[in-house]
Amino acid sequence: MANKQPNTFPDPLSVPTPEGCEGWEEMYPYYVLFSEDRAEYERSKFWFQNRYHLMDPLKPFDLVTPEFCYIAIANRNNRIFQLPPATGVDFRIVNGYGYLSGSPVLDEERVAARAVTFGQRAGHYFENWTEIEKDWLERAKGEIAKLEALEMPDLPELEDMSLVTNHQAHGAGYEMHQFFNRLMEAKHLAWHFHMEMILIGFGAYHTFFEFCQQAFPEIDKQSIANMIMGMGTTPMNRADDELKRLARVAVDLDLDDAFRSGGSAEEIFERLADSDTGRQWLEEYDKSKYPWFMVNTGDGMYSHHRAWLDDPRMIVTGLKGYITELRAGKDLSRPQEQQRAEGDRIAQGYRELLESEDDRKAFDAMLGLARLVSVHIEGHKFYIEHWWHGLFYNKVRDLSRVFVRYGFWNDTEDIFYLHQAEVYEALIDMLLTWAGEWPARGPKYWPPKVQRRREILERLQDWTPPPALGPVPEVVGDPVLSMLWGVDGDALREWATPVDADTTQLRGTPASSGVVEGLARVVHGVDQMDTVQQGEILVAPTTNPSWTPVFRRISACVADGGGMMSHAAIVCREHGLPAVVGAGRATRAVKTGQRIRVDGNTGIVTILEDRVDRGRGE
Amino acid sequence: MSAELAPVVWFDELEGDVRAVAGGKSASLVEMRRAGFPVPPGFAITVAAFERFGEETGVHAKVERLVATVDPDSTQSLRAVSEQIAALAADVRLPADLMRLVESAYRRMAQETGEDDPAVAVRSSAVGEDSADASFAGQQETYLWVRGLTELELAVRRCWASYFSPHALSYRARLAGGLGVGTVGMSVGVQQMADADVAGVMFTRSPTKNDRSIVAIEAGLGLGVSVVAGEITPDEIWVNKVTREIVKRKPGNKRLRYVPDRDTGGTRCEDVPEDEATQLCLDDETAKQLAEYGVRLERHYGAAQDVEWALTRGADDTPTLVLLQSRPITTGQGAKEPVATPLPSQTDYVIKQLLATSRKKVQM
Repeated sequence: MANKQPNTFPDPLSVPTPEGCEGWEEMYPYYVLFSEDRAEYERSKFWFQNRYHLMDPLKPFDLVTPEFCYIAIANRNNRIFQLPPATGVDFRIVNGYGYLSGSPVLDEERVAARAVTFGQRAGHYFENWTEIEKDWLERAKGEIAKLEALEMPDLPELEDMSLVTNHQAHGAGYEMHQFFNRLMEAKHLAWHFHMEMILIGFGAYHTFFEFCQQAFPEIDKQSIANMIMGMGTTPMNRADDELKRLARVAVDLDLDDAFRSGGSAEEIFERLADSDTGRQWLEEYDKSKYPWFMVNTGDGMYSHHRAWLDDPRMIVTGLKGYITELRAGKDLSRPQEQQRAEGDRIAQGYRELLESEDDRKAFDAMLGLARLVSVHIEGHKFYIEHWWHGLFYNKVRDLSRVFVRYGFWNDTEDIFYLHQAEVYEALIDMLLTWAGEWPARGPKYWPPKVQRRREILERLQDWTPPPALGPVPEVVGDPVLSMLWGVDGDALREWATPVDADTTQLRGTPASSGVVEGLARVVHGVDQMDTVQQGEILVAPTTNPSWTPVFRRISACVADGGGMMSHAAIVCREHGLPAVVGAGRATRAVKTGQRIRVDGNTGIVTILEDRVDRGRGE
Repeated sequence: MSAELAPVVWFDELEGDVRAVAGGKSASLVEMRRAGFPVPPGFAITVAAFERFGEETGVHAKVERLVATVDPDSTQSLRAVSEQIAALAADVRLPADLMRLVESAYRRMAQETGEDDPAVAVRSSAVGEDSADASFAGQQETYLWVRGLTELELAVRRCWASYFSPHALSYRARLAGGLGVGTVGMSVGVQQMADADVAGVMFTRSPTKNDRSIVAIEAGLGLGVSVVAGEITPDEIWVNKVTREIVKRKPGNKRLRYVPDRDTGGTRCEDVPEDEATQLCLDDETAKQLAEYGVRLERHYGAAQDVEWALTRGADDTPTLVLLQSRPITTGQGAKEPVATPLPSQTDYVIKQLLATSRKKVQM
């Protein structure tokens, strides 16, 4: 362990390229790369790896998320709300991994002037929060409905006669172009919806956190989070609740065997359709599935975060688990009620310890606001990162299938190896050549690029991005940086301390307290979900409420992504399980069957035994 | 001094202004016992005993004469007078009637503990000043593992003599009452000895950041003196008052411990094997129970407390927590700025915080 803390992290412009990944820059647009052109600015800034959301190297298309997301953040915080201490979040890619930089406003006069505008504008939102929240939901659902209704046009051999009789100027080439634009606009709009309310919501969180930390200098962030969260039923838990309901229906209808006898989800559903009780169950399933099973198995940041409906293995696995629990007479109710009561008890306990009546008044006001905004902060994800995200990516896949038909690439998923601007180029290429029936260049141009990019990204998976780059910042400023990404003095000290390579330690955010040693179970996706055995430690890329069934079996959790407020953190606190999130490359460093220690107090994950117990399988 | 005050009174039978007759130290123990805290039983040798001893033996008159000669600004003079008074106390025995009262109380202790010559802790208990002042004045004479009437009598006289220690003399020279025997006097507390396997201190605040939500426990092996005197690195265990969870467990290095010396009486210091020295000596449940006492003491006194405690072996060898002292934490408790001032709207709190955040320097 280093005793002396450096005042700078590695130079952002000098990060070496991992072997075999030469030319990785080619797959990303010029503006997300560190360059000599604006090196002076880039070297003056502190950059941290966004391991909360972007724990894997990004396929070029998946840049749509950070690009639109960080436009929306700066647009909202700087150009609309004038958040006093910061203007937004800048963004770069290094070896495929996303780095962020806060932009604190350092001039005090400027901060004060911004505070006046902020007071009027954010004040309007805070004062009318509940009505705006309802309105937001209606508007968001309206936009989702538009996206649902957005139909991909066909590129026909011969256009319909109606174009002629209706005197329609444009043909299918234009409609395809329009479809692409509307699709991308919908994705962009989603991120503006995402940021409309939550950024100032984080301001309210930050205010309460800072107050608590000032009044109680030793308080841990988990206790503060517990006081705020779990205020209402969040739509994020709805999928899990519906799954439990369907499990009960299955038990009532005596359909256990249909689920237990195995086979794929499709086979099980086909078997169910053969009987009256099975069809009865399927009717219930149809009531539950949309939109609730549009939850994806990640956090909606990557194209490979697929919705349950698109990959129903999760549904079947979850159902099997719940049916078994119900038959064993177990209670399936969420510990949320107790969690809420515990949060109230903690809040009451700290409130009583405050010194003065003034402090208690301030505490009530700040906690009240934090709780008010928490329902939206928890709930918005379902609409934006899950439902909206799932619809968007599936329509991108629809578009990709046209490219496959015209030979631009071989597999639907290959489109994600192109940046959105490149997809646009390919689209023009395709439309130019489709209309006149000439050969497109795309079919020769893209497949080797896609192949090379796939190889590079696979190699980049094994690279460990440094947690931070550039000089230690003087101030952090932006409440989102501290609340969401946990950037503070403690984190910076941690990031500056090299991890012990001999004992194979990984570091993340301590998200739920306690220390547990046990056997690791690395789960990359839904297909491995039912391999998790009772008492194992779950090691996953990220988790969300769709993973909830698994949390009932595990003894601790390690996630590559996430932070204090992420799903794994919340559920582990609910279940009293230690959790370390934002652990970076845990799913790659840890092997199933290894004995590991998860320290939810310090955020350190230690691989205790390198030996893998082969009996437990990979 | 009230004529009817008994010279020796069992802790639980003290009435009226306990502080005035039994001194601050014993009064505090009496109060804790009355409030239901696990404080070992004992009795007070009250100011009436001090007075009667002084008068019946003629010691007070001699002391007054000696004290009259002292120059309170001269350390040398203070020390010389103090030594002469100590010599007096060493020579003069307790009068027989007083001795019978002490003996009777000690026998009662023997009955209650089921031991012939129960070990006791004998402590001076200053009257007229609060315990913090008394501590400053050096009037905290303590004799541990005292066994038998002869040893007890000697310890009592030594405690009395501590009333005339150079420190105490110098301290009282600055008080209105003057240097002499004065109107306050000295009491001695005799308490059943806590047979400590583990002992230490507890603060109802975190030590450096003064956090009110934390109970900080420091634990050492054997008697608490090794912790109090800072001779070892104690185990540190923190309990959160709100969640009642242990939030810190830091084993220290408890390389020595004070244990009773069964041959000579009193205590002796012994080395501790390394693995024992570096292993936590307090389990979670005990730490939580101790913290619970801390919270209750703080609530009882309405102020942050600094508590001395011990984990003893009861009659049937079961570990039992006992409290030996509780006093207000005096350092770092000045008039505290409120954390927040009330503001008209919730938005105002956010704005105020964001302005503070814009100036908040990163602490590496």
